[in-house]
Amino acid sequence: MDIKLEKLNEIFTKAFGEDVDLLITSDKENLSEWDSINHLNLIVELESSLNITFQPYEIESMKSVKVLIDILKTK
Amino acid sequence: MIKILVISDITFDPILKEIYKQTDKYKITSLYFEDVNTAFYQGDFDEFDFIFFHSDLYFHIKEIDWQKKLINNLDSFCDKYSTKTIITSNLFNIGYKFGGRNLLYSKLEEYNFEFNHELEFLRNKSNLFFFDIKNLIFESGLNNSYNYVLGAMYQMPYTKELIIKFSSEFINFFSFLTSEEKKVIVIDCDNTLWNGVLGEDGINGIKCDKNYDGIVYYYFQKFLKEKMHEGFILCICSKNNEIEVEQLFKLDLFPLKWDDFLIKKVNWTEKSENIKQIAKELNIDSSAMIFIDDNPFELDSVLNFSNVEKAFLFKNDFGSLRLLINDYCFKHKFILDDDVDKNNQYRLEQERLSTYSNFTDLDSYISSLNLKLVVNENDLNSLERISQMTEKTNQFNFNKKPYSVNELRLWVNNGNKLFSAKLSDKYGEYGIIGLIMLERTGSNEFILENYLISCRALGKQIEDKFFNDVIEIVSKSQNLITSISFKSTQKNVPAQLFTNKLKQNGYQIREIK
Repeated sequence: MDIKLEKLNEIFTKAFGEDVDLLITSDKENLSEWDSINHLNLIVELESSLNITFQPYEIESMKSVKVLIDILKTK
Repeated sequence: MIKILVISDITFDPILKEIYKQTDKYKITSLYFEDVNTAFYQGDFDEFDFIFFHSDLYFHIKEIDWQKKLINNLDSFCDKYSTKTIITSNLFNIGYKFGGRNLLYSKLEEYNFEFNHELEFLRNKSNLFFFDIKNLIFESGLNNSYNYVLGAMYQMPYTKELIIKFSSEFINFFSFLTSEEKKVIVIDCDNTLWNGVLGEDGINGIKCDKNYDGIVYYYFQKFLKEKMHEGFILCICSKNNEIEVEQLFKLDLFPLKWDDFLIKKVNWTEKSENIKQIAKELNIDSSAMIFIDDNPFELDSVLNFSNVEKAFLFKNDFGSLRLLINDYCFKHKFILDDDVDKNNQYRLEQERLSTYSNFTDLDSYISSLNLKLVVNENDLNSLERISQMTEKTNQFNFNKKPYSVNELRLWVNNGNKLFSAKLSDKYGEYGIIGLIMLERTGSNEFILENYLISCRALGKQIEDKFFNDVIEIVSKSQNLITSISFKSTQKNVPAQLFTNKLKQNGYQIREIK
């Protein structure tokens, strides 16, 4: 599926429980809220709001918004 | 702020997040342990009010030996931390603890778990409660509840669906543990106790049996009957002709009988008025009532024009019935022998009142009852009933403050005194109906911290007798009561009148604001 950055921003905000300003270049390094616990929250939120499931290797590789969008394209 | 420690073998963080979204009443600390059994002997539990053990049995499949170990650990842990409330959350089959959490459905599942009888061990632990998420999983289905990938990677095996359900159940559970229990269930008749309208469909048009159009009502009545045996008082409040309703019940078609209802208000008066009347007759506040009706308009008017806080809209489907019977307001924190007997006691009370009309004055009536009051000091075996009284008694209560069993035990351990009174008369036992709490302020000096008498026993002039008995016991051991604490509320007028009398007798009353 193709997903807009806007929609992703909404999901990230929900998952992290605080306002996130998501950019296409955002990743685990430059987004301070994106720690391992929030990574879990993010996966839970993505799976439930987009009604998809991820494979373990996808969850591990999902370290930036860019990769995430690529993964979502295959869903 | 209520402090809760969560010890679990899953990553609890997503659940905490959902809980905090809904409420900020609790301060929750969560600790992850790969094996919950190793957590019992580690760490400092002193600063927490509640300790919550959660171990998931579907994701981390546990051997029977592990489960037995957990039971033994809980057993000794509950004794060691007797002043804390401990909660265990597993997928045990534990239908009957505190008021039989959905007796109806858990009976279906009673075939399982070899070690079920081992749990009997834990039943008499007064500071242990069971939190049951099996029903939540049952509602969503296992596939919609578990995410095995995230479980393996992050020790968080639940889906968002289960996380949300878990967190609301968690909040409901803790608000149940920390609030007052309900006592009375007031039920409408037409389309609530049975399918059909008696006045229009006639007796033959009424359905309440195992057929498709009556089965929800049939199980609802069964459920009410169970609740009656657990100590709830059932009352009818219906717009109907009383004679017709009575005739219908007398046909013996239903699980419930006409006499199962203690008070029947079958008339055309406003329901909120009837409810006030029932509260008055039972001598309780209507906030202790649960109201069930199929008409949203009646529900609204009762919620708006009486103190009833809990009301249910009855619908003819199993989904809503399930939601209704799973609600925590239908549960007791403990089921005491006293509760089971309570319906009987209220019935005896009506019998007493009917003989009262034969007497011309109160004194001769009371002396005809042959009242017998037995006062016990620091009776540790009855703490559950005493704790229940501190929570439920409103009218004759000097200082409304609920004490848990653990707090009461602590009270005695700290050198304070606890007097409980047991009452009986020629009709039967009332059980424990009074409590006096003395707080030690010096080697021989005490403050009367609380005095309460259950409303069942009021009006029989035992207030003086109990008080004087305690004064006698105290002064025998050269002790002195220096002052009496009193906190006036909207509900405790009878207690206020009594303190006025004490003031006249020279006691010093210390008002608590």
